[in-house]
Amino acid sequence: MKLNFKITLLLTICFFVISLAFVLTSLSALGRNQSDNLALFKNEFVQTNLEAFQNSSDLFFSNLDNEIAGGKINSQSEATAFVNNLDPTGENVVIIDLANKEFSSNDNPQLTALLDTQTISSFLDQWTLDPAKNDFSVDNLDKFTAGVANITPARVRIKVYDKLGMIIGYGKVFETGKVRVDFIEQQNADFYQTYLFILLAIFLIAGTLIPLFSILFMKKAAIDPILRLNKVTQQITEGDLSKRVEVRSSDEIGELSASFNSMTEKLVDSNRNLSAKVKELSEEHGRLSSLVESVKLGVVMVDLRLNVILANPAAKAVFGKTASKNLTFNDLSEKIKGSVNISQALSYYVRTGKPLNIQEVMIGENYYRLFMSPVRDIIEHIFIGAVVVMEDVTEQKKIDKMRTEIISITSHQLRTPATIVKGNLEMVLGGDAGKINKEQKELLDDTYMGNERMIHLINDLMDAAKINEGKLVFPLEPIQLEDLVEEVVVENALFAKEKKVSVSFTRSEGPLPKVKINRQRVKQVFQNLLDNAIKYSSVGDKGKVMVDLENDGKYLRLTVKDNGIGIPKADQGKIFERFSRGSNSTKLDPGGGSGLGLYIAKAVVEQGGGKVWFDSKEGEGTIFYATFPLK
Amino acid sequence: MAESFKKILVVEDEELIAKPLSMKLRLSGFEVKNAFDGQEALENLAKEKFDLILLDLLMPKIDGFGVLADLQKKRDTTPVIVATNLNQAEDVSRVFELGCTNYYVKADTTLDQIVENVKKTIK
Repeated sequence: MKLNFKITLLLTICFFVISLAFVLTSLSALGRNQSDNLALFKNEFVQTNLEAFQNSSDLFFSNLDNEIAGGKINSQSEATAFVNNLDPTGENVVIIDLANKEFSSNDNPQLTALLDTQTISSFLDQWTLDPAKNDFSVDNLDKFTAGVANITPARVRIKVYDKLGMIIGYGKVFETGKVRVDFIEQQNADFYQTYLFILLAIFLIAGTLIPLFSILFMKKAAIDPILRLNKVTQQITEGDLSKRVEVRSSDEIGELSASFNSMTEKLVDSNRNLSAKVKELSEEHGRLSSLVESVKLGVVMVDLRLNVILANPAAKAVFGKTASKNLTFNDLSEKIKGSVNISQALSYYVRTGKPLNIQEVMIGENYYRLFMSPVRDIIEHIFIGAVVVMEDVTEQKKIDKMRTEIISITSHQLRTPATIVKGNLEMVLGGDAGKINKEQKELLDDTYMGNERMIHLINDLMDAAKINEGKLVFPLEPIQLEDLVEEVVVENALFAKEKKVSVSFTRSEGPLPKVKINRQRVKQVFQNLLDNAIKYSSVGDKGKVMVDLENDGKYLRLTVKDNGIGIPKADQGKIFERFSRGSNSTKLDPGGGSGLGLYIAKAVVEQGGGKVWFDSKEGEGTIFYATFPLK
Repeated sequence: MAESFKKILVVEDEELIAKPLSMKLRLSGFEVKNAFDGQEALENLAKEKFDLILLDLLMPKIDGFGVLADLQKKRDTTPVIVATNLNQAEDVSRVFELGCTNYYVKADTTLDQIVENVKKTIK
């Protein structure tokens, strides 16, 4: 409405101003024409007319025969005389004063004599007939010329003046005695005036009508469709997407309307798609929510500043919050006891982007295993926080503890019969119970070895159980490690010879600093590594094991290198896990190996502050490294 | 002649373990007396003097720790070698605190090793 009004007003003002300018221009032009323009016109006329007048003398004479009729000039000779009487130098002018209804010639008395005063008077009477009108029509002129038929032809110029003293006509006197006066000036002036008035009227009418029609046209062609468009837009905005604009024309407005309609169609389409998507998303959201809500694992989502974004009821319950209360990060860290600082762990994750698994955290009376995974923005793929999943492992831990205890007790109990077998066999084999033959000895040796292996297994099981319980602790004492290594190498010399494997031992020159270890345990570790190396390189007779002990300043580094079967890539990741054995190991170690040796070795070395690792390629060999800190 | 034999008290509740051990010791020239629980051991110790005690830890009535504690109380300085199947670090340190001379895990030790150590201890 506002725009409509503004446009209308603007257009009206525009056209009004234009019209006004037009009218004013016209009026001023008219004013000037009445003086200057008319004068100019007059002069031009005079100029051309005079020329024509002068030239007309030729006509005058050539038509002499036909034109001479009546009047005082009756013959060629009289005419010639008349002409001769004219003052060739003076102006032979008859002055007709319309104002005073007088006429006179100039100082040429002959000419005055020639004038038919009566006829001229009648012309003047005629003039007075309608002086106000000032209208000299052709009809009037004919009457006049008829009236002056008796004027003696002469080469006379007649000027006719109006009341204001303006020349309104020029006259010619023909030989026939007729006078022809052309009131062209007045007629032209009159016409010009009329023309100006008409023009003015046209301007005025146009100045009024054009804006009016323009407005009406504009209203119909542009404003109304825009208003309709606006109305429909409003309806659509209010939600009625079924509305369309009526397309009434093929102009720009029509095109706009059509475009608007097609836009609305698209809108309806995309709206429909959007609705479907929203429905789909809210359904998915619902499913996810109920999943997160109902899951027994505690799920907490935190942002980069470690504020809790989301916590499911299970997580809230962990921290003693009711489901309706919000969980904050302070609630988390306050409640968490034990060695792991959750905020530090989360910061670590946030800083490095690496997921962090925290084995067990005690919250209240229960144990929880925490898993922290990154949360990325779906669109931007940047980290926006972390999800902490808390698994209550209290029950699991209880069971684990029970299992460990069972293993511990049973392995202890198992030792007794193994010890009985061991002791008795030793007596028999040592000949303390009488002499035995070769076959008997061989069989009993095997039995003894089997029993030894069983004891070894029992020991490993007990150790593993203790490691699992975190109870594998032993006193550390300063030990000359190279002596211990040499001792083990020597002890295994026979075994290596049996397996056709050569064992070499190299070490840094000079005495090495002592390291604080548990002699028995480290011996066990090294025994294990060497035993493995010999066993798994005993293919053919080219088995070679190289033991090396180096001092690198911070650590003593023990290397056990073999050219054996290696560890298959698939097994490498879990080689230090409990009960893990290389899938290719059984052939060279049938029935043997608990799969606990490296698990125990790792625990023992790590308890001493060192590390165990390896490099291996299947079919080429394995190098095990163990470090022992010097400090 | 009998006086020259060193007297050893083998305290072991498991007869089948005590038997070869005692046999080995006797064959090695020792006089061996067996006790099958801690109480019996203490009774024997009250009656006569031994050159060495081979002591198990887990036993009925009075266990090895109890025997060691009693000996310590009585300021009895008879050397004690513990031969047990307990191998926990805390047990080991506790036993040494109670004044034992040596400690063996039976399953990991041969009879020869024990006899060698016995000989070394009471030489």
